[in-house]
Amino acid sequence: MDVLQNLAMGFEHALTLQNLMYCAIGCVVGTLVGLLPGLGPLATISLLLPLTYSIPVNGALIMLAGIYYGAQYGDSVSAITMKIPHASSIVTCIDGYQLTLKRQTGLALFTAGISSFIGGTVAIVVLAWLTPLLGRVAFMLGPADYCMLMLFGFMCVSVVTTGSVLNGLAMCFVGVLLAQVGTDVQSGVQRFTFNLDTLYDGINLVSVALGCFGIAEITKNLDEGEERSPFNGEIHLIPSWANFKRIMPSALRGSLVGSILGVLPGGGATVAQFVSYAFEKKTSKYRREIGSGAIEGVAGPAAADEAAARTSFIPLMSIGIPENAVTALMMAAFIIKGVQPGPNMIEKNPDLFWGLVASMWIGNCFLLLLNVPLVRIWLSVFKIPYGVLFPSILFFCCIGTFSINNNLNDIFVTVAFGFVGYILMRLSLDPSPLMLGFILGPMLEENFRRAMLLSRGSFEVFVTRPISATLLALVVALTLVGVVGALRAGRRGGLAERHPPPPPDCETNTPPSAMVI
Amino acid sequence: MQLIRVLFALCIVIGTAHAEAPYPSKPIVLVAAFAPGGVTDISARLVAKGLSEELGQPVVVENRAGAGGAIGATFVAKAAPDGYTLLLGTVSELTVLPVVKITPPYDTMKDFEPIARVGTVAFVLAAHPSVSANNVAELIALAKAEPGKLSFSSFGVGSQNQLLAELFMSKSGTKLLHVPYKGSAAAVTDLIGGAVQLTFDTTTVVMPLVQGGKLKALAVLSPSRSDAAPGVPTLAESGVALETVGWTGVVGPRGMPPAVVARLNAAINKVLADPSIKTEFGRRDITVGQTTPEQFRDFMQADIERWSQVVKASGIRIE
Repeated sequence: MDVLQNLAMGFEHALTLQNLMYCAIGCVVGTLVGLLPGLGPLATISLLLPLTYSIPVNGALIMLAGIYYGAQYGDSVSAITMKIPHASSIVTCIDGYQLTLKRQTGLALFTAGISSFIGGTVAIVVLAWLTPLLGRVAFMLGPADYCMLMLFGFMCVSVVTTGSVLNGLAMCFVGVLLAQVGTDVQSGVQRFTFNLDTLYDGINLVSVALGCFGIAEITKNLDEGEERSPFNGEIHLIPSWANFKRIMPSALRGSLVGSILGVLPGGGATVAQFVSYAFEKKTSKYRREIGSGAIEGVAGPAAADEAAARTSFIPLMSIGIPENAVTALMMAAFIIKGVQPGPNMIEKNPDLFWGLVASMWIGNCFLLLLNVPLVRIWLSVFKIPYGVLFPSILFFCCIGTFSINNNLNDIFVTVAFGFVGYILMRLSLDPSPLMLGFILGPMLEENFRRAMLLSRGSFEVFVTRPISATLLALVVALTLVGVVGALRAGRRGGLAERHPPPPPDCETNTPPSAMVI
Repeated sequence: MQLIRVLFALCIVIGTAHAEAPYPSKPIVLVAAFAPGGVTDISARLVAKGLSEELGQPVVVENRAGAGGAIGATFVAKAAPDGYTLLLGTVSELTVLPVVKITPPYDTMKDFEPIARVGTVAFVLAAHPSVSANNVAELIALAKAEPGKLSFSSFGVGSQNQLLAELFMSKSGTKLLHVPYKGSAAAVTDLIGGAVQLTFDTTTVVMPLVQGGKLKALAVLSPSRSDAAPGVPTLAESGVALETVGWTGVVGPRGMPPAVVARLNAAINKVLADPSIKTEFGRRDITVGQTTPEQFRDFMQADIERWSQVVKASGIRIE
């Protein structure tokens, strides 16, 4: 009952006219900025942070949070319509863009919107009831546990691959190698930086994502000279009941995955979209369609992403430690406003916490109201002639990359990746596993080496810690299931049928009970 | 932000076409070498806001983050020494980085013109509650009983707080295991979880966690006890002669006209004397004070000498 009372208090704070306005402004600005390729919540919040000096504390935080999840949603729009993902929508891009190619952009956008809404709602329930508990759990994970979590994340590689598993694995390793560039955390040694300052902190994720997806796609379109005729078909804003029934379970599963992983300070939120996609591919009724444009492939990751974005506030709220760059900025906003983040923050400022939680849900509704009617407008992107659309996308890509560090060299890196992405596309190599490797590789390495350092070189640590042991057992079980499944499929298929490449997903032939992911 | 700067630039071109005006006659760029939201960025914005009013020209903060602050600092070191490009520098890029790097990107004393120190912040030696030691003497005894068993987290290889720990080890005759992280947040996260047992971090980060019962503070490293950490003894009181602070200060490229340096120094000192600015800094446990350029130069010189000795003794170098 306590929680309900607190929530009521939160809504009281969030529903004042002023705070509603800040929430609306945040959501609108966030969505608009998220739409622009390459510009994410980080750039926006850092630009708008000084503006919040003169706004009352509740309003400022509500607005900044609004920008954050607004941008998170906006990103998925550019990912679906133009295949230009930001860090948070790399997976949404896969099926979302396939749907666009099938001329079902409206459906994809609606799915992303409603799934984000569901993800957000579930996360808020989690925030409201479980923050103190999860705040403690989040800090129980040590380097060994994160190491196993990342290994578990790598299990998703066969799932995000469209096409041959071998190619997927190869791309994944290329991603791991690319992520090696930069300063090694454990020793301070420069790896492949060629003495260039720009590369000291490694290659930026945004540069790789924009280059390999967005710029490559544009170049390919120019290359083929094929005009995609303007969209003039009928737009069904509200999907059929049948579609809706397909979205719901996926979005709920995604929300759950996102809510849990989002809490982990060591990079759980980034893994959420991949894990959720893998989860869909294993459990969804329509799993065979995923990868070639199924709404489940959009619904799950979109919900997971949104849920993770919100539960990532838990470490900040319960302990006062920011989990990622965006929550670090939010923490700066707290301090600017004279609120000291720390373990006692919720007790000392209950109105702030509950006001923020309530405003998140109100923001959710705003986003839904805002985006469903706006789908029509997003679709009009395709009415812009290529001659205007492509240069402007490239222009925004440049601004987006530049805005990260105010560094011109970052744009050159993006351009280089555009070239790489184009070659990959010509070779029919899918960049999604590359992104997976790029994101997880360094986290796996960092945590593995840290775990070994702390255990003084003993591998026992991976089996003696309950969390890492459980994850390790899961990884081993899934690998075995996969291998056995592949062997069985191979035996059943016989030699004659082995000429077509094996199905990308070798675990589909296993009994349902074994499908854990 | 970029757009605003372009507009400003246009205004300047139009505005200064006629006559040579006294400094400052155009907007000033104050570079912060770290990402928005951090202490450096916020300090820069506070200083810039006050300076704009004081100098009658906009002072624009530009974040040029990367390579541990080297990118922003190098940018300023190479800028024209006309007083229109300044750096809100910190201990990291001005006195630690040039010392630990095998090939330093710049020589702080030769490539920068000290203008004024802005603020200082106290460091705390913090421990996980499971560590049995309740003060520095007990910690030293514990560490000596089992050398290398206790571990500490740092912000990275060659960071100020790794050097601090090295200094602590050499002065106390202990051996601790170094576990590097990417920055303060990650380092403190694993300390809260108990994966590592010790860290050196600022009062801003540590004290709320101490008050919340997540960590314990063993000593502050400031010359005297800190208001931000009531009841915590200094390290010197505890028998280890080690005192140091984290600091920020404004520097410009070497070769700035003395008149410009004096003008900026006076303006910054005036800004820092403002009670509202003092309170703003105070919220982050930052103490602001008045310094002359010469005092700031001597302060940096002493800091560099200290870290050079640590580097020489410990052999910590990064590429």
